[in-house]
Amino acid sequence: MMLRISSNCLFFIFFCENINAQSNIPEDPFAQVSSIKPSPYDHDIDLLAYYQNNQVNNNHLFNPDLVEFNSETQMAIFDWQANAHWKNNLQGKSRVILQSDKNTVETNTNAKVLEANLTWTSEDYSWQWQVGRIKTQWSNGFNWSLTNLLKPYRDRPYIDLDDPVQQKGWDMINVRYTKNKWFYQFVIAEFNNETHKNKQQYTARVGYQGINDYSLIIHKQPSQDLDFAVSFNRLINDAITFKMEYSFLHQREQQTSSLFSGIQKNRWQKYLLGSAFTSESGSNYRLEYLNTAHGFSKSEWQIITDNSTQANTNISNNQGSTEDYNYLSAALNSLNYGQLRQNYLYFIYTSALSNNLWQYRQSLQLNIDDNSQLHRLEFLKSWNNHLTSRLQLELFNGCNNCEYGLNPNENSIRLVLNWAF
Amino acid sequence: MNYLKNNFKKYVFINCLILIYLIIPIHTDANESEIKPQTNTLNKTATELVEIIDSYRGLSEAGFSFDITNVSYKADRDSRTNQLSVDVKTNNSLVEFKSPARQKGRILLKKEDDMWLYIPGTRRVIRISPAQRLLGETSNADVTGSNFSRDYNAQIITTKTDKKAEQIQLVLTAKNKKMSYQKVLFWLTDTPPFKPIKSEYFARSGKLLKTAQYKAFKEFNGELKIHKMLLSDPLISGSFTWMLFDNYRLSTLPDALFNKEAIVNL
Repeated sequence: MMLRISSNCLFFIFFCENINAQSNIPEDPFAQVSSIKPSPYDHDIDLLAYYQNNQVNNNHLFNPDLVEFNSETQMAIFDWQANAHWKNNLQGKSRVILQSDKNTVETNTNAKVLEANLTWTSEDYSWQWQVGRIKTQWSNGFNWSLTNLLKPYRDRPYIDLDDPVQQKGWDMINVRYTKNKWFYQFVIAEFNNETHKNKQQYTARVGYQGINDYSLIIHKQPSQDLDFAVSFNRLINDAITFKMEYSFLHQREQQTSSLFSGIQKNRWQKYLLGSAFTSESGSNYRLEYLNTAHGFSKSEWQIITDNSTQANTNISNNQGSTEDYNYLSAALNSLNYGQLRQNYLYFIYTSALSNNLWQYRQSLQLNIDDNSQLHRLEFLKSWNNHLTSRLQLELFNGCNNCEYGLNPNENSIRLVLNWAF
Repeated sequence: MNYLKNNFKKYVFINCLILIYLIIPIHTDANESEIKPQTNTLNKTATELVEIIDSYRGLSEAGFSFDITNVSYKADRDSRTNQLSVDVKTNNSLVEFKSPARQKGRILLKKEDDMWLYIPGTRRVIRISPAQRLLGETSNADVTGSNFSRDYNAQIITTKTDKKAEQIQLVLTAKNKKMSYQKVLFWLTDTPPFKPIKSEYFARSGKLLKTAQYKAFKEFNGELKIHKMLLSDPLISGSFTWMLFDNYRLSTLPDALFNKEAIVNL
């Protein structure tokens, strides 16, 4: 009797185990899956749209209610990318956008060619020749890109992640040679600014790719000595990466001539140290420190705040002169030219992708010199294979004469929808 | 009736005690497996068997390409499919994301232990770590594969219970602490062509992280390759990923192709 029950019990347990196993393990699904078909022509279309609402700060040290900023912004972008291969070594690429902006004052619609180029590659892939409009990315920095020496004002992702102008390339001829772990690159690109029209800038890059990854970039602008930048990054262990970037330029990013006089220096450097860590659960943490001499020093900032306070007081008392208005305009514009001060910390946490394709990102950009902060919270969701959304909150926190306290927005909320066809 | 009920409970209790008694010695036997670094019956050393395992993933001098389709399942949600195109040459691989549309165009470059990710929207190439995940529950290291011959020391384990199953069991121990999986257990058939049957992947802490079952193989250029694999996550109930490796083809893959500067223009 015991033996029978025992065997029944065993049978029951194994039967239950089998039922569970069979119901849990999905059957082979590959009968219905279509295979990938390579094609010599490929194109992608993305539609991006966002709505942003700002709590505007129109009254601060640099702006005593002179400039009215938009409390609402809408943007829609039709992004078309095409790629064609002829034979095995000739390729054409283009990226064209149609963009429509609407704010509380006006609506603009325009089309832009972000990229359009031809690439020839040798049979062994060691040589690449490119001509046309090309977007280059030479920096490994996540928040700050020190080694993108071609017109860095196009490359400030922390200001606006969705601004398509940041993806616009330069008209250039690009030659690259790769041998073993080394690469060499030479670029001749367009150069236009207020004093130079239709000129060229030249860049030479050399780099080593391996456990320790190095690159050196030498850059020549018209009427200027050589600039250079170096980068280094490596994998510390399976979960940690480390990077460092340094740049040495002869032109300061901030336009100082309208703000104070007496600067004779023409050498400006900045460096970045950063590390990223991925936890076992899949969460990612990044920390970066930036030191930039392009930002204003303590004494320079004191001059700017003193002069701005005086100009602001005069204008508020209806005693403002043209110089006062010009000074505040220049001070307000300084927000567009990069960092106002010299020491920054950036931290971002990215959660692992959830079961339902939710992801959370939270970042902090801290100006160590004045203790002002920019907080950004993002909720990302993939709704299906095509549609993704991002809800973003930005909070600018700082005193009346601190960098993030001077921002035109005190806080903002943006909802971004992206459909990839 | 109560008498029967009470007696039934008593019998079940006794049976379960017997069952526990029967199971314990089996586990004790399994734990007392003998590590035998010497050869198996067909005179294959552990090192040779690991090279065979690597050859099933295609790690060889000649470059070739194949496609991967992943279908992942989790409890209480629909299955998800993504497709990748992979180029492999020795220790280097290039993985291009083909679907879903929201990830299309991304390229993952693995050059020995180093990994870079190309993001097409921003044209950025960033260094990433093997532990980062681009495909939900599948880590980068899972997608690009491991070179067991290079990164692990192997020993043949023979257990008393395995003998009847005609399987060889190998234990692979990471040569350095950088590896995602510090220990891997591998079961192979005991006869040529020594097909992989199952593998288990362990963290440094000893925790079992992943189990792979090798469900089907396909001949390519006279060599067998893995065709279908089932991954399961023992830490998450109901978490499975079916992987299809298909469309194997010889490719001319110059060394210079596996370079972070080159992947921007693929």
